[in-house]
Amino acid sequence: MLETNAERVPFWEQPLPEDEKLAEQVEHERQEHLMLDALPPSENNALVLARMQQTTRLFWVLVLGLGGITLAFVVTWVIQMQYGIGITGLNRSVMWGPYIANLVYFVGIGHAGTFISAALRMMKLDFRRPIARAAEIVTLFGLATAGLFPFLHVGRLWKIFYMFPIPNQRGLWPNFRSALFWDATAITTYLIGSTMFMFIALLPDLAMARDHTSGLHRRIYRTLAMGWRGTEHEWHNLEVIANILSFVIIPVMFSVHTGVSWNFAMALQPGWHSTIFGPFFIVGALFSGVAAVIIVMIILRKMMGLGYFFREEHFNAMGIFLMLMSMAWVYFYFTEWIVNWYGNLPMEKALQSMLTGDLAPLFYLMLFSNIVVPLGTLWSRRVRTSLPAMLVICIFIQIGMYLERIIIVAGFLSRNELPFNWVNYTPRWPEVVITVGALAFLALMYTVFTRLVPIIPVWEVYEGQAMHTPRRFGRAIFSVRTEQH
Amino acid sequence: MAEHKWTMIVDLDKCTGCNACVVACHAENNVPVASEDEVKRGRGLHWMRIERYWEGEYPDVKARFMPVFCQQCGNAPCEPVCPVYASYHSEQENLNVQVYNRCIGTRYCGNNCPYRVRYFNYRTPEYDAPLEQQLNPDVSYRSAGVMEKCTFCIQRIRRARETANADNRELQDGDVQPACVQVCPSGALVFGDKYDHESRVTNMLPNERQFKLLEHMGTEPAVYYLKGGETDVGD
Amino acid sequence: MADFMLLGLFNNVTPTADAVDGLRDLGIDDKNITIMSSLPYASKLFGRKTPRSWYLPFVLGGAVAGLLLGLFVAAITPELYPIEVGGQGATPIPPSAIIVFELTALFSMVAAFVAFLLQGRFPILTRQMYDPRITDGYIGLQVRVSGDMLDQAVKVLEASGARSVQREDAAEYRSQGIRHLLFWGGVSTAGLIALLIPLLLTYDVIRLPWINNMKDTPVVDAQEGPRRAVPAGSIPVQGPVLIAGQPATEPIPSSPESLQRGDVLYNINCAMCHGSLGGGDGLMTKYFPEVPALTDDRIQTMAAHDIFLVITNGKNRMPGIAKNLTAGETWDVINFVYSLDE
Repeated sequence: MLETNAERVPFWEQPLPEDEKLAEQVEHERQEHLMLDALPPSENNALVLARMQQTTRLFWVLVLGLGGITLAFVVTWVIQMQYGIGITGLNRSVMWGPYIANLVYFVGIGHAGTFISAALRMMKLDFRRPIARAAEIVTLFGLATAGLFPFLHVGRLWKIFYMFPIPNQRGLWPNFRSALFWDATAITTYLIGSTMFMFIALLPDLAMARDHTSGLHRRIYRTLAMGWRGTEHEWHNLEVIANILSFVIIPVMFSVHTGVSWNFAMALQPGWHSTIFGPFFIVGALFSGVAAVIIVMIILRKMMGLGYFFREEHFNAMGIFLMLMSMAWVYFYFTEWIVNWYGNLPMEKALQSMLTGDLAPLFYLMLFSNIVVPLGTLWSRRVRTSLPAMLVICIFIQIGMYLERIIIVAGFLSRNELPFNWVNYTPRWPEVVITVGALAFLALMYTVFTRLVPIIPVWEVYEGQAMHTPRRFGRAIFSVRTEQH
Repeated sequence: MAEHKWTMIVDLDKCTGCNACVVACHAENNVPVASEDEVKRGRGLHWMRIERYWEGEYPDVKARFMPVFCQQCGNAPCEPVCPVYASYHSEQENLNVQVYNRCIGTRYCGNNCPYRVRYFNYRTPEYDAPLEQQLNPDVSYRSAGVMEKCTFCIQRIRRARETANADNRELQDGDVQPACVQVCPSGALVFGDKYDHESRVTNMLPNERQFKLLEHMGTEPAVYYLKGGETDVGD
Repeated sequence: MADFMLLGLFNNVTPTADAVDGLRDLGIDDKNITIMSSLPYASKLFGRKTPRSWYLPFVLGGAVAGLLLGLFVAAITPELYPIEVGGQGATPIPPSAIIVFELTALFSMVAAFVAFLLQGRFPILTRQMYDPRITDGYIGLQVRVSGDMLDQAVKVLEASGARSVQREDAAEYRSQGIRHLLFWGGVSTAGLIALLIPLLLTYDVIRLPWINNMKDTPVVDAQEGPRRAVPAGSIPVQGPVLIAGQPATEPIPSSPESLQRGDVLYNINCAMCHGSLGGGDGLMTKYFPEVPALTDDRIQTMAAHDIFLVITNGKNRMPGIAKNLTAGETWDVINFVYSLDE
């Protein structure tokens, strides 16, 4: 009869085993695993909505600070439009600089979000459940920020519509043989796909927000939720489209950073013209992207008090993912360089002597941040579950991956076939302001967005909780998942 | 099919590194003169430049000069990477052409040019009065934000062809002379049509000293260099 | 008798499934029953059939449309507007493959999204039976019954363990009918119009005063005045290049014949300013007082080829007279100028 009773109470009121020892174990497991620690959804809804609607003083200070930096970014951009690209430190050999490196970096950051959401969804890994939305928003705003850089980069912004494939009286069509278009098309596809993917998963949460708010908020969420009630038909629809979008978006995700890497690999520039660039960039993007998601998770947990949702197990799982990406990155980087080193062509020698000469501090800092730091620490569960340690490691990885992009773009360009044209590059203030400003812009959009939508996909969490039950096996308790499909 | 294959021969034995060609090019093509500060930042802007390399160790040092300008590649790497067709291969002129009006300044062509002969206008070129009076009306003025490069003085090619058409005759060898060729005091630069069997250029090729710059990249340049230095060139 | 709508609220899946069974026993059709929940329960948990959805035709249609558009954009337009670049053929296959892939992916995703909106009838513009407690984890069971079955149905719901049962007149809940399609029709029309507006701009139907740097040129055009005189020492665009200090052409040695020719040419071309004896006292001196005397030591000691340059290119206000003299004639004039001193 216990079985039947259990089925008649809601999933969050499942009775504990009567054996005291086991009850203790269950309590322990519940503390460890979000999926076993079901609270009444009304409490969780209230928690998420309260955090969403709460605007503390810290929040306003943050918004003002980030807004100020973003304003500096805008002012710098206007100055650059007025006086030309000449205000940057670019020169006649290094024609691409931090703007392009930033594009690569921000696309890279944006990479992991949808990947975590879509690929882990397809693989049915439960640790994605509370993280998915936070990661998807990193994708959206990462891509949006990256999308600014082509506009910042071009010499004549006011003529950029020449690049758009719009029929026109000039009788000219853009040249799709240019790698710039492959990358632009891929980023557009990925951005639109990710937005739709995020939006459909957001619908049930918008309905949740609609049901638990009042006044203007309620009216806004009611419009956005489009009348979602959670009927069988609606859920089934959502399930199917989420699967379709996941399957389509994963190859698109691979194409995005491959496209970005081909901007370089298609050029005859020594150091760029390499077949390994596609996979190498993808791995690098996932590496920095996963690290970025972890940073965001830590900040969200601290600032919004989401300790219930982001637990040690999630940081642990993400840490393992990060370590795998680090290993893959090391492998690709090593493959890239041993081929160059062994080939010993004059140009490749010149690049190597630049890396160990003029650029040595950057080069070694990059290797330290991307190899020594993650691989030396992430093997330990204690490190992976310690938030300060993870924050430091992830910031190191951000620095390392940014340096990698800068070295590839501005560094390699300063060495080319005719030694007469070797010109070193030094950034000037506009690049610094624009780079920092773009980061602030991304953070600002993210900060504001956390106050607009529920940052936790609560329905995914509830689904996991409803499908997980503690099971007694011998003398111990384990978590068991019911597979619905 | 193109009627002409404009070709330049640079005899490195005859080049004295006097830079007269550079000056002539600036004057003919309205190439802006970069300020001292800009040059220090590595933004010297010359469609034609004399690359100077030192050979040997001190005190046995020799200076080598090599004029480098757009090689007018047959398989130009700069062309396919341009998203707006600002850089393309003109079938009529059989030259690699840069259309300033289309250029939006992505600078991809500049990166992809192994010779680094494409220059970007980082700033709006300024000419103090009365310098604007010396600008060549045949050559368009380039604003900030566009790429530019050597054109083989395409305006002179066209003028010569128009004159020849008006006189009702074919273009002859010597009708077209780019500014650099015209001023070269030592006659190190020779320009002509390689499809014309009588031209000086055709007669000078093949030459045992000939080579093309970065030939291994497969760009098929239209510029031939004649090796200088130890080769015995006779009288 | 009018129809009624009932909404029962349940704790968990099993009681809901019991209620579904009970309602079925009353002879209520499954399609009149709607189950709402805050998380995706599979239909089979309630003993019901999985709802049907029609994504495949949409996704396939989107994919084909994207594929065709990709082919058109990347492979056919280069044929329509052929521009040769870098020795590549007119229709580049590998880059086209990339564009075709991206557009196929994009269009199939957008089509799936459209299918999602259309099949879910989003946005729902009419009133719906609902209870906000559903997003708090409870399961709602909505059933439409005729008036005579109302009491039995309520009993079934309550017997199965419904926490609450709402009842409403079904007349208040109408289906959306055509309104949903009209809504999306309106939105798509607005979207299309928004897409067409850029065309008005790109085809210059609406002209914006837009920045065009190439127009703002400091270059003095051929038809623009006033022109200044060519500065001294300028290199002519056509003809030989003369460089100061270097012989221009082979000089003709001075001889009586040369001097005689020089005298004639001098009187035609030079004497009106420089005077027939080179004294700098020609007729034109009242306009050009600075004309130098050619008998002057400064002139007489000049190198022959420098005089050649002056005659050819002019100097200060003296025009170049290369048009009137061949190279040989110029040398005759130079010989004559040297003879003026004697």
